[in-house]
Amino acid sequence: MDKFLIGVQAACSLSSLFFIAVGVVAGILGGAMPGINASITTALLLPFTYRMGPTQALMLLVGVYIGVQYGGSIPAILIGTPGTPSAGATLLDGYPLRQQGKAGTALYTALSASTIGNLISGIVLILVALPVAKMALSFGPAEYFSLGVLGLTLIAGLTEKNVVKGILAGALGLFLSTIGIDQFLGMPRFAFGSLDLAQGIDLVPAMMGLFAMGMMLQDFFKPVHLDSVNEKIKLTPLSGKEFKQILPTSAFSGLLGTVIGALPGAGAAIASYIAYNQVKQFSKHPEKFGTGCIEGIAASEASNNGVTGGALIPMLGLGIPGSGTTAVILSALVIHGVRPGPNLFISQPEIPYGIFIAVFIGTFFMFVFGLLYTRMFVKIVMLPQPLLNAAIIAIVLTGAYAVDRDIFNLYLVLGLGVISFILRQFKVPITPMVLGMVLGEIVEASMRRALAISLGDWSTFFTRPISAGLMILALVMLVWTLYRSYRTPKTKKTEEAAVASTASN
Amino acid sequence: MVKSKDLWLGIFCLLGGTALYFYSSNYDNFSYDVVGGGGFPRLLAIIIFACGLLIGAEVFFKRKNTTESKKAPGNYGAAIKMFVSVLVYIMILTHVGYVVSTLALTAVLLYIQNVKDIKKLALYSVVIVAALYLLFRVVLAVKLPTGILI
Repeated sequence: MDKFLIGVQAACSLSSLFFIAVGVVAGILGGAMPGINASITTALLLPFTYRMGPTQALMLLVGVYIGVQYGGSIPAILIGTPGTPSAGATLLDGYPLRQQGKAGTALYTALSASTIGNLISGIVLILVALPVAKMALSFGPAEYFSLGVLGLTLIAGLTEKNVVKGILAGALGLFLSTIGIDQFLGMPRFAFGSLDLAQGIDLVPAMMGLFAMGMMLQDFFKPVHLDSVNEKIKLTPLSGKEFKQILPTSAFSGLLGTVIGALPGAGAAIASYIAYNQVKQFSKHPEKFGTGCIEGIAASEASNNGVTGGALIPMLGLGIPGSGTTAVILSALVIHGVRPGPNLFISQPEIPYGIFIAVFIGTFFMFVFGLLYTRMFVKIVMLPQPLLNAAIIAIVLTGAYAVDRDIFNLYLVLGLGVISFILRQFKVPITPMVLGMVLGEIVEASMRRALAISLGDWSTFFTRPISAGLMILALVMLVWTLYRSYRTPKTKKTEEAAVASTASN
Repeated sequence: MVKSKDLWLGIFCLLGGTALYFYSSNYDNFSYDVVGGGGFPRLLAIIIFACGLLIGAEVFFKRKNTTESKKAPGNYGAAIKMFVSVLVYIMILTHVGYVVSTLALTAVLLYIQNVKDIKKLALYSVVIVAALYLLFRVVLAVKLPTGILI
């Protein structure tokens, strides 16, 4: 209890509160800019922390981490371009909802779910940081592979109308993830002599190309008139009923995100897609997902914000960064002479416990600033479509360049945009392709590592308890989804009639 | 009526999957790596090939029951112009500089979208570029290409 109070004292000082607030604002801004993700925003602010004390430095960076995950949802909802890779799942329902004139509802849902996700991860962080860190150590390559396979079953869930095209898109995405240096061979694959391709395809420009640039080419494909101003959008906060609707989804997804975040290397993007898939599978109305369902937004946002606290668990408890962003935060700790690990909780309790409290304070600031910003953000979608299109293209290209100041990223954005446009003409969905790219590296690398350890014994994925559990869950999800998509039309009509008659009574 | 687009997609998958399968065999196996560098891409090639077969089968087995709905033709010209504009922008960006090239790009993109009023063209372009420059260069301290101009 004494250590907890020390943490409260550290996080609630005026300077700490100031830096948390600044960090949250910077994080929301960074997350809202396509191309500037959590790692980049944190890294950009790292030099500013050199002259600060360790506590203030951490408060700033934790604030950034909290703000950026929420910030990524804003462009995903408003302009159909995820600001961060983890907001890709938010786009699935956020953008359709915005197209229905309910951008305010989507933004408020994202904000509420992000807040709940952060709060849950903060509670888990306080209660079980060290035990969860130890559990994360039991995840080996086989478990990571099974987790990746579970994530890939989302493909079937996303493309119920045409599963074959969804699988094709997923396979294409997995193939894109193989381009670059093979971790085991140490030589490039599918680079065709290009040094740029040999470095692999970065996820951020890839998502911008597949989502944003492809969508822009599609928009140019249809004639647009200057005077076509988007209809006025009503900015109505969430009703009590809507909040109750997203509350259980947000709580579940926040917890799931926290657990996945505690796994080093798993990441917010993986967490958001897995949570989206799980919520959709258990939903009473799965057919509504992808058409503007607020539970879809809530699942994605709560889980990617849940990762925030989860990723801090291995960093603080074991000194192992759980994500790219926590790697930057870890470097900040090292720069200030702090060595993370179990001893930190004893020798310098104000740091870990201060971070725990900072998560709650940062979440409060995120909620307040999010409420203040939402009105401003919604005005963006009321601009004339040609202006919006030109601005989006400029933002995407600038953001792609900002990733690592490499012109090749711009060619990548344009090239993948063309591929996305062509696939859209053939009605091949893009989201499974992105999912394949997100999960490809972890799936292949984990599979090969696990087989190398087991000397080629494939049963390792089914004999290790956690891995077996995940594989069985993946199989159940896949079979259930395929059954739902291929059941006869007669069966569907009978069920719908039964539901309708129940509702009328 | 046969869905011609799906047929072409099926053919592409068959050819692409085959090419990927054989190209992947270029990557060596090592004794400790059961799958090898080409194993995972070969698996994906099989999946893509299988998808091609399924799509092709769907085309032929459902052709009697399907009718292609006539859709309004799209504006391929505008899409191609947009593509060329962005391509030229990328090629000149580091030589000309961010501000001038982005101003030109936004102006061209607006023009393609039938914004013919010069004043609106200029105003919108300047506002977009100024906002982006402020955000990325000033606030986020991202170094943008300068080139021979700015």
